[in-house]
Formats: sequence, structure tokens, C-alpha cells
Amino acid sequence: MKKKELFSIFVVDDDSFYRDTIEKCLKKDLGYKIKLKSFPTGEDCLNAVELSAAPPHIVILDYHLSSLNNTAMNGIKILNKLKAINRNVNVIMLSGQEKMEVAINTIKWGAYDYVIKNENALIRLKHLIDMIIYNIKLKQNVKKYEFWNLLSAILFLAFVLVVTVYIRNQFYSN
Amino acid sequence: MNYIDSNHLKSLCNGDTGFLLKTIDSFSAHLEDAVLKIEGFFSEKKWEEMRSEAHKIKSSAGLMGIKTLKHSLLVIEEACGRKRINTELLSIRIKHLKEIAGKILQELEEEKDLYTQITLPKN
Repeated sequence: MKKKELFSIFVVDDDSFYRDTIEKCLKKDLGYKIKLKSFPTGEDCLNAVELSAAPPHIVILDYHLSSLNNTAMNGIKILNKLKAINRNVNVIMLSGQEKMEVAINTIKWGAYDYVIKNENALIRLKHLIDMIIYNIKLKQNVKKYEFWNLLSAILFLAFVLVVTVYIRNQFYSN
Repeated sequence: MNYIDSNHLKSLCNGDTGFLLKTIDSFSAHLEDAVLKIEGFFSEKKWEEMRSEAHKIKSSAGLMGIKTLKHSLLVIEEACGRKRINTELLSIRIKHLKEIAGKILQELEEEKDLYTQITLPKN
């Protein structure tokens, strides 16, 4: 059986109940093999991203992160810093605010999407994670396809070269 | 009036009764703690802390699908964010929050009992 690929997801939320419930639900319900880590502050997440060999595939990031520490950076600042470390990291912003301008701002700063923390948040999160993983797999397949295309073109050219040299040698030897 | 949407809780836990019971326990403790903190912050006139606490538990109430609680917390959060705080009105809002939180905790307990009966093996 083909081994399932491992996807890493980081969850950042200062509310322990929300963070734990999201973590448990995703671990249980997603059809992928995932490595999930959660953090109460954005600073902890940034440290983990900087220390890890490979950046996470997805970061689920809350907008308000200052309930435990007044000086903690908010979600937008963390989003900027994450994008500066690796611009390919997919960030899903979470917020209790239903204001359109907040959503637009997060997208403008490079978030993949914005999820309002309502009763449908978990369904939306799972759907977005599915979409991101589908895109990651698609990009990987395109890369594989491009590699094999390049390899077959090189092999074909090498074959043509060998045949040409052979015919040329035959021609001059006669 | 039913504050809890049983169907939402079931779908949140995807039919996993053990997980549902743990989530109810965890949320109940979280709610009790948050209401106490909000009351404390109100008596100490710590409006920013109170707003932050209401905002935090509001998201959890949303995740659990408890719309009335979410709305009550939103009203408190907004009231704490105003320049001039109407303490009299805020006190009424907190009283209302305490009332509905009590009823919600009771409903969650009933929901838990129902699922515990289903989960317990028959002797």
C-alpha cells in the first residue's frame, strides 16, 4: 500500500478550549496523515517555524492573540513575519470579527483565506485544508510531470546524437 | 427555551460520544471560569480585560453553536469597547449572561447524562 504523505499544520489561538477542540477535530476528521502542533501565541509559532527544518504546510492563525499577554503581536503582524520567513506557507486567518475590512486586510497581507469563528468555522476550516492539500499535491504532480518531460527530452536528444554519430562514422569509414 | 443545538454538537464531534463528553466538560469549565472572570473584571472596572475575556469565550460559544450566548457576549464585548462605559447597563448585561450561562450549563449536563447512558454498557 502507498504510504500516505505527512502534512504539517500549526494552530495558533490564545483560547485553550478553541485551540484544543480544533486540534482534536482536525486530527480525528481529516483524511490525511497530519502532524499538528498548537501554540497559545504567535511568537511561539514563529519560534517553532524558525527552528523547524521545513515550514508547516498550513498555519491556522487567530487574529486576536493578546488575551494572555497584552504585548503579544496580533495575527496580522504574525502573518507578515510568517510570510517573510517563507512566502509559500498557507495561512488561514481565524477571527471572531465579521467585519469585511478585517477579512480584506488579511487577504491583502497574503492569507489564503479568512474564517469567522462561528458555528460553521470547523466545516470551513476542513474544506479550506482540503483545498490547500489538493493544490499542494497538484503542484507536486506538475513538478514530477515536468521532470519526466525534461528527462525524456534529454534521452531523446541523446538517442538522436548517438544515431547521428553512428551514421556519420559509418559514412566516413566507407 | 433550548440554548443547545444537539445536532450541532453531534456533527462537531462527528458521532464520537467520548469526544463529545470531553468537549462538553471542557466547555462547561471554560464557561464557568469566563463568567467568574467577567464578573471580577466588572467589579474592578478592568474594561479591556473584560472585553478580551468576552471576546475569547464568544468564539468558543460560536464553535459550540450556542448562538444566544454568543450574542450576549458580543453585546458585553461591544459595551466594554465604548469610550463611555454605562456601568448600570453593563451590570444588567452581566446578570443576563449569568442567567443564560447557568441554563446552558444545566442543558449541557443533561446532554452529557443522555450520552453517558448511551455509552455505558448494559450489565
